[in-house]
Amino acid sequence: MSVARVGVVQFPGVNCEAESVRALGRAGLEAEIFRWTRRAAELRDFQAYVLPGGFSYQDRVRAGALAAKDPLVDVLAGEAERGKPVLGICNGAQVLVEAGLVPDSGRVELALARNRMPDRDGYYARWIYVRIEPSGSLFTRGLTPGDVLPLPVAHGEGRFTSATAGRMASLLATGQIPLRYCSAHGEVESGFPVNPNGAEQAAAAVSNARGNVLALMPHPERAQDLGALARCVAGPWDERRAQAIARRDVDARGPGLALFDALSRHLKES
Amino acid sequence: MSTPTSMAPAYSAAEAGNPTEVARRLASRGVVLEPDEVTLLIELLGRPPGWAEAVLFGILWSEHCSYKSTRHLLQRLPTRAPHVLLGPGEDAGVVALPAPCEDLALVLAHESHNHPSQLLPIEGAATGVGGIVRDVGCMGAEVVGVLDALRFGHPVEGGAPVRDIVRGVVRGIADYGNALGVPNLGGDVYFDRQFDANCLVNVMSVGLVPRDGILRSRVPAGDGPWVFVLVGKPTDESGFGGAAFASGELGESDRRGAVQIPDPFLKRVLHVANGEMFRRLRERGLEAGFKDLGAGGVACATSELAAAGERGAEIELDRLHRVPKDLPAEVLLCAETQERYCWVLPESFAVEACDIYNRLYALGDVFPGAAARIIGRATDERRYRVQWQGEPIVDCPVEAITAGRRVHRASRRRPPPAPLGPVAETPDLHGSLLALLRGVGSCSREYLFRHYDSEVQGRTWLRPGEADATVIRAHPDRPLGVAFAVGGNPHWCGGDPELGARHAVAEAARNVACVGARPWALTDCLNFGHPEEPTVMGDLAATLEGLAVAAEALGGLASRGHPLPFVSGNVSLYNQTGSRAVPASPIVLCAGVVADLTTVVAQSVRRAGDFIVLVGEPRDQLTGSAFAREILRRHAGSPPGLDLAREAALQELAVAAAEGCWVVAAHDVSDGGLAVTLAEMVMACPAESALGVEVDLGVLETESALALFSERPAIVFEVPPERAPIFFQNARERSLLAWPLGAVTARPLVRLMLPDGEAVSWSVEELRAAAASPLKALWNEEGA
Repeated sequence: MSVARVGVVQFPGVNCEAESVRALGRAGLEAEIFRWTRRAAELRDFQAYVLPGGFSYQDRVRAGALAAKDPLVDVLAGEAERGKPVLGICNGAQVLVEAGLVPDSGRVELALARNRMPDRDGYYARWIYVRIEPSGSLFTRGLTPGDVLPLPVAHGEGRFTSATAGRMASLLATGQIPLRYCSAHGEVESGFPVNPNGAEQAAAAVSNARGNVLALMPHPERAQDLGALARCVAGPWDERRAQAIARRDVDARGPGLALFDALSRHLKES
Repeated sequence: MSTPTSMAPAYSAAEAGNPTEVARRLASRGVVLEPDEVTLLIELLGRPPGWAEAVLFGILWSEHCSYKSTRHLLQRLPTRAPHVLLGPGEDAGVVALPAPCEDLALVLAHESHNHPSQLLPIEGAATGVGGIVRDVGCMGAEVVGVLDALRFGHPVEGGAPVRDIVRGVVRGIADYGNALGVPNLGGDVYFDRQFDANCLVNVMSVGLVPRDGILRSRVPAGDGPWVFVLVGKPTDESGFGGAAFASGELGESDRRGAVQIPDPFLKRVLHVANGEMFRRLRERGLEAGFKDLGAGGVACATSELAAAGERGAEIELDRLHRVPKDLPAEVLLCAETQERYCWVLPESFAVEACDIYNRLYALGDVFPGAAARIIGRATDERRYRVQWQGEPIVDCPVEAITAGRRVHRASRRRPPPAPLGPVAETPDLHGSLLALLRGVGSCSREYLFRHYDSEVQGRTWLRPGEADATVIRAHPDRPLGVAFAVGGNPHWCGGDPELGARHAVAEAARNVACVGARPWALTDCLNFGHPEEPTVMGDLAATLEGLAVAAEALGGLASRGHPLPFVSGNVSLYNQTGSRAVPASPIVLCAGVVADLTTVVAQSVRRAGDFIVLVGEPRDQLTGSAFAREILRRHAGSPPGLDLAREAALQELAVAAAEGCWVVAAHDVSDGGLAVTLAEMVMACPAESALGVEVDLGVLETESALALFSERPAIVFEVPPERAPIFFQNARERSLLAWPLGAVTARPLVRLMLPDGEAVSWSVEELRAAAASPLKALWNEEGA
C-alpha cells in the first residue's frame, strides 16, 4: 500500500509548517505544504490534513477568524465529513473552532478566548503537561488514558470556553476532550500555571464527535526530540530523556510524536 | 528652496562658499551634511548636488552608514580565522560549521535600535528585530533565531516612563518575532539609571545557509544582463531620515516619523517566498545578488549593490511600487519603508522571480500594494543614475558612493577607577542574597522571556533560563548543535572600558563553553555617546583594544593558534541626552559549536550526592560586584581582574568536561557572585525534583562575604562522584584552581557552612519568591 499523503495547509502568516511536515515524516507519513494560492479542489487528493500554528491572516478580527472563511476550509469541511483526519494545532485549532468544525454541530459553539492568567496578560510560552483522557479521537488512539505528555504551549488566545453553560462539561462527558492540562504526575488542575490559559475543564484539545477532527492548543511538532525536552520537565519523561542521553541517542523520539504516530496508525489501518 | 523634483540644485556653488550656513539650511529640511561635506559633494560630483543627491549622500555619510568616526578603530578587531567565510563588510558575517554539517554555514548579524526604541518602544524594538532578520535573510539563509540585549533605565528610580519602555520593548520584540516564526534564543538585560533617557536595544539574528547557497550583496561578476528587482511592501514615506535620526542626539524635535512601521505578517510570507527563490536559484545554478533595504532605502541598497559589484546602475524610480500618494522623489528614493529586499537577477530569470512573489505567494493579497517589480538594470559604465519622470535626479560616479568618509575626532583615555578597598562591615548573608534576588540586577528573567516563543521551528535544545547559553539543532538528522550567549556588563564597561570589554568577550565565550560548545565566532555592537566628546572616543578606543585582546586569547577551541573572530558588528553613537552619555556599552554575541547535542550541559542541579565544584580565580575581591553596589551601596570600584590565559584554560576545561560527560551541570559566576549562581542552579530545577545544595565556604579560605559575592570569573560544576578523579586531574593539568565546595542534596535548601562553624540556609521556595518579585511587579502596576 502506498504511503498516505498529508496536506499541511499553509495560510498566509502560518509559521509552523516546516516542523509539522518533519513530524509527520518521522511518523512514517508523506507530508506536503499546501499553499493557499493553489486550487482548493486539489486538497481532496490528500488523505489527512494538518492546520499548523502561526498567525494566519495576521490574527485579524480574531485569531483564526479569517482563515475559517477561506475557500480551502470549505473543502476541508467536506473531507472531514467523509471521515478524513484533520488536526489543527494552535492557530490551526483556532481556525477549526471558528469554522465550527469542532465540536461539529455546524455552528460556532466554542471560542478560544484570551488567556486568563494571574499577574500577566497576553501571549505566554512555556512547557506544560497534558493527560490522555478516554475519548473517541483517532489522534490519541493507542495511547492509554492517564498517560502524560509534556508539550510546549505558545499562545495568547487558548482558553477553550463556550457561551453555553455546561457545554464544555458535556464535551468531557462525551469523550470529546482527549487531552487535559495536568501536573507532572497526571493530576488535572484547573489553576495556573498547570492550566496555562484558564481553559474550562482544563481542556488542551477538543474533538468532534466522530473523533477525526481535533483542535489542539499545545505544539506536539515542537517536541520531536526527546533530548530537547525542556529542563523544567520532571518525572518519567525526564528519566527517559536522561536514559536517551546516556545512550548518546540524539534521535530518540520525543513526546510530541505520539499524536502523529496515532494518525499514522489510523491511516495504515483504514 | 522650493519643493524639488528634478536636478534643481540643493545649493549653488556660490552658496557653498558659506558651507556652515548651507549645512544649517539643509538640516532644517532633514538633510544632514556636515559643512566640509557640503563642499566635498561639489568636488565629487563636479557640480552642485540635486536634492535627491544631497539626501542620498547625507545618508551615506551619516555616522550610522559610514562609520566615519570609528572605522579606523574597528580595524583593531581580529576578523580572520580558518573557518570564517565572510567577515565584516556586508549585512552579516558567515562562518563554516564543522562535520557533519560542513555543507552548512552559520550567518550572524548584530545591530542596535536604540533611538527608535526610546521614542516608540513597541515599534522601535519590533523594527529592530525586523531589520536584523533581513540582514541574515539577504545572505541566502534561513533565519533560525533572534537574540536581544537590553539596557533599560531603573524601573523604580527611573519612574513610569522607564517602565513603559521596558514593557513596550519586550512587547515589540515578542510581537514581531513570535509572528515571524523565528525563535527567541535569549540575550540579556540590565537596568541602571544611566539608561533612563537612552535605552539600548541590541538585536542579533542567526541563520543557516547551504555552503553553496551563500548570496552576496553585489551585482555578480558574470555578463548578465542584470536587473534590479525590488520586492516587498510598497514604498511610503515611513522611516524617512532614519539614518540621520540614529546619527544625532535624541531630544530637540519630534522624530517619531523617522521610526519605521513593522509588519511581521508580510515578512513571514516574504521569507517563505525568498526560500522558494533560493531553491530555484540553486537548482538552476544561477548567480544573483541580494540585499535588504535598511537605512537609505532604495538609494543605498541599489547603489551599494552596484558599487560592490564594481558596476554602475540605472534605476527608474517611476517603476517602483508605492503607496497611492504624491511623494517627492527623494522620499521614494530614501524612505526606510520596512519589509523590502532588492535582488540583482539575470534578466532572463526576472519575470519568473516576480511571478513567485506576485502570483505564487500573492504578496498583493497579503498587503495592499506589496509586490516584486523590476526597477532598473546594472550597467558597465561606473555611474549610478536614477531617473524620475524623464529627468535624471541622481547621476554620480560609483566611486563617490564607496568613497567613504573619515572624521578625525579628539580622543582622551581616562584613568580606570581604583579597585574597591577592603570592606569592614560584616553583612547579614541571609538577607543579602534575598535582597540581591529581589533587585532588578539579579532577579529571575523568566517573567520577561515567557513573552517570547523560543520553540518555533522545533530546533531548540536549550532555552533561555535553562543554561548559560541557548542551543539549537543545526540539522534535524545530524547531532551538531549551535550555541549562543551574550556578554557586556555595563557597570564594568562604564568603569574601565578596556577591562570591561575583555570581560564582555570572556563572559559570552564562557557562557557558550559552559553548555559544552566551542566558542566559534563573535559579533559586537558598540553603544556609545557623542563622538565629539573626547572621552567617548577614548572609551571607544579602549573598548576595541579590550575586545581585540580577549578575542585573540580565546579562539583556541575553534582553531588552535587563531583568534576568536569578529565576523559582524555595528556601532551606535549619540546615545546621549545633554551631557549624560550612556556608559561605554560594548555588547558581544558569541556563537559556539557542539559536536554532539547529547553532551550539552544545563545549569540546574540533577542528582543528590553529586559534588559541587568551583573552578576559577581566587575569591579575594568584591570590586565591581553587584553586592558592593546594591547591598553595601558603595561605588563598586573597578571590575575584577581577568587573567586571559587562565580564562582560556577554564573554557577548555568546561568543553572537555562536557564532551567527556564528567559534569552534569555548569553555571558561571557572574552578577551577584557564587551565592546567586548556587541559588540559580537550584531554582532552575523542576519544582517536583526538590533538590538543594550544601556547601562549605571554609574550603575557599576567605571571608564569607568575599567567597559568596566576589564576581571574579569562575564556573560552578556539578560532578558525579565517579567522574571526580578525571575532572580534578584535568583541572590540575590546566593549572586551574578547583575547590570541592559541597554536594547536591535531596532537600530543597541552599545551605552554607561558614568558616566559624555557623550555618545559613534558604529554602528554594523563598529564593524563588524573591527572584520572581521584581519583574512581576514591573508588569503589574496600577493602570499599566
